[in-house]
Amino acid sequence: MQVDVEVFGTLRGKLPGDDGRGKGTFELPEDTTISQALDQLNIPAEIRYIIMLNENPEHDRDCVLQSGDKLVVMPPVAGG
Amino acid sequence: MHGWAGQILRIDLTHGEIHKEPINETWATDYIGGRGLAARYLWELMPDRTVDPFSPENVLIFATGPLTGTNTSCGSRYMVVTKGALTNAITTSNSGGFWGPELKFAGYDFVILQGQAPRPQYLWIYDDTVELRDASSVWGKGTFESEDRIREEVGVSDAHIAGIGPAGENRVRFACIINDKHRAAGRSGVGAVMGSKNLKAIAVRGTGGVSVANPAAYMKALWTQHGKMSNSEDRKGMSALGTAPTMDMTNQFGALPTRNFKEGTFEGTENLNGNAIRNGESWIRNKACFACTIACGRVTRPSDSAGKFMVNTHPRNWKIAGEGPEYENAWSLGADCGIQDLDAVLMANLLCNDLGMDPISMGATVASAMELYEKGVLTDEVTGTPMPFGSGEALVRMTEATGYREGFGDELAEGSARMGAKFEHPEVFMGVKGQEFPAYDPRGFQGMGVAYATCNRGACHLRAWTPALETQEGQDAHSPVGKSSWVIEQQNQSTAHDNTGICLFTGFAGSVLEDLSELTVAATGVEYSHEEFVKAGERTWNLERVWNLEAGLTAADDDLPERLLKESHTKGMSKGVTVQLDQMLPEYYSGRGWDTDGRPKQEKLSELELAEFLV
Repeated sequence: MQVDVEVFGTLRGKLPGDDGRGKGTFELPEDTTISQALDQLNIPAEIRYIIMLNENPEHDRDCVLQSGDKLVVMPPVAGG
Repeated sequence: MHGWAGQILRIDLTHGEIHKEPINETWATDYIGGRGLAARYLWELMPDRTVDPFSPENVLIFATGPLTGTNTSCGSRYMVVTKGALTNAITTSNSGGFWGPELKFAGYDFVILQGQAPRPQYLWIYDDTVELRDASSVWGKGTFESEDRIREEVGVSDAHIAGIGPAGENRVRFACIINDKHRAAGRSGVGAVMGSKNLKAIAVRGTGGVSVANPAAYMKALWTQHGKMSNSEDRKGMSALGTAPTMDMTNQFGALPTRNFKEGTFEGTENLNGNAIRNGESWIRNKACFACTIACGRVTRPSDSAGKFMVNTHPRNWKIAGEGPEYENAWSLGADCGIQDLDAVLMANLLCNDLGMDPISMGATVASAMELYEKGVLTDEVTGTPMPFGSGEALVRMTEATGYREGFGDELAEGSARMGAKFEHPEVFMGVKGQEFPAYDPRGFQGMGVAYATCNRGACHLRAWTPALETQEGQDAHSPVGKSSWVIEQQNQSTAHDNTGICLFTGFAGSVLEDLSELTVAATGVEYSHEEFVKAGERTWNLERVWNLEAGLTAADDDLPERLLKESHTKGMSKGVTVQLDQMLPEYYSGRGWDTDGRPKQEKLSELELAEFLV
């Protein structure tokens, strides 16, 4: 299945083939969870990210992705 | 005393008299220091809370905390406490850099300024030597040039200077105080108050240090704090990209105020976010304040193409290095004005620092004027230059004009509340208590609505930052449930934090407030429990509230613009959401122990040992 992925901040450049824009469409196996997707996309799993799935926050990393999903991953941010 | 220097400076500017006196130890213990202790002094020294902010009766206090100047991580902060020129409320504006520690090294916790100098002056402090000097050589000059000249005049190359630019002299209502050229006590117009007192700057050099009561316990707590911050992923993110990545988060949540809060998402974030600043040709390096272990500061220089912005009086600024933009400035001068040209943002930000103005209020005021221009209320004849949303040229031109109160800049210099009211469209003011909002749309983060409405110094993101809660598992960013109690807790804690003299960002970078209470105990020798430490924050918050009530503010001032209460966005994650302040505010008052009119009840004031302040 294909999933659209976008990452921000310090994750830019980490996706496979990332040219610095931090986004791409990736082929993932069926029934891939968010946690498994992070692993396959070179995103370190131990960090507390803000994750959004189809423009809504998603905190369950065991959530199974569907074809056509849009996954956004942001490192923790704060302040101004 | 330990932690505290134990001595304050009282300056009678009217008569040119300088007094040194011991710090009030009872008050220092009750309020910890900094913002809280300064509020207590302001209460004592300014019995008529209703005076005009520009009156000689207004009192201007520069205050450090007991950890300022120690090697506690980010121990750089001083606060400016006074009646705000923008808000007519008590304000507490906070800055880093190196000036605050230098004041402690000279042997003083506070500088309290009263009256009005008969002519422009600056204060020079070199350890025990304290003198008022003629400021005619720097009056009218920008902060960058003024710092260099004052340093030459006093003949001490490592003196640190906090002062105002032309904006403060011209009483621009959101003028700030700049120290070390690029760090700012930014909000509420503290620089305008300083200007009204004919005080250009305070230059200071100190050769002493800060003693701590229990060095072994202090160092143990310090290494604990440093260890947490060193390993923190949050800290690493701030070191790498500063604060501007927050723009990506707020944009995703539909909470990035755009074009004067008419929208909650912005199409130009990729040109203004942390990556754009870090990877752009303007980037030079990180910068840290005194004892900082984060280094969120960005040293930048406008690119060659910035020369397209014709800045009349400061052509030298085209190619000099400055600092920023932080997230707030990238938003206010960028998205809020519909501008995605980083050069325009950098130029306006640099001008704000040199002229001495708060970039949040500057950008937000330009944004409100751009809305009036879009509506046809303002025309080219009035503004002197086209002001559509998205015009970087208008932003840069108007920033400069505002600092000098030239042309339409004279209207912008009043801030968007007064400017909007003058042109009979008060609805374009996006703020609270006369102060413009910072960079979070409460329709995307509901809790920011009650945080903004209740902040004692007007709209502010530094007293309670609810995205920290509202992005967590189990939280609904669009629900008002539970937000008020969390805002109360945050306000009390952040106030205790401010009182110590430590940068709030330690709390975003791996350290927790318990670290600071432990360090404060070790530094001062006062055996605060953590609960007593936080209680000092709550005591400060309530004293500020009572101060404001005596100044004439009421519950009606704890309100939000109708745009946030009745109009929702049509796209983005916050689509269809309005702020439910009518639910959150009563819960807030009740949770605070205040009555339905927002007045602290006698029981609450007694609990906080503030019974004598009952209004």
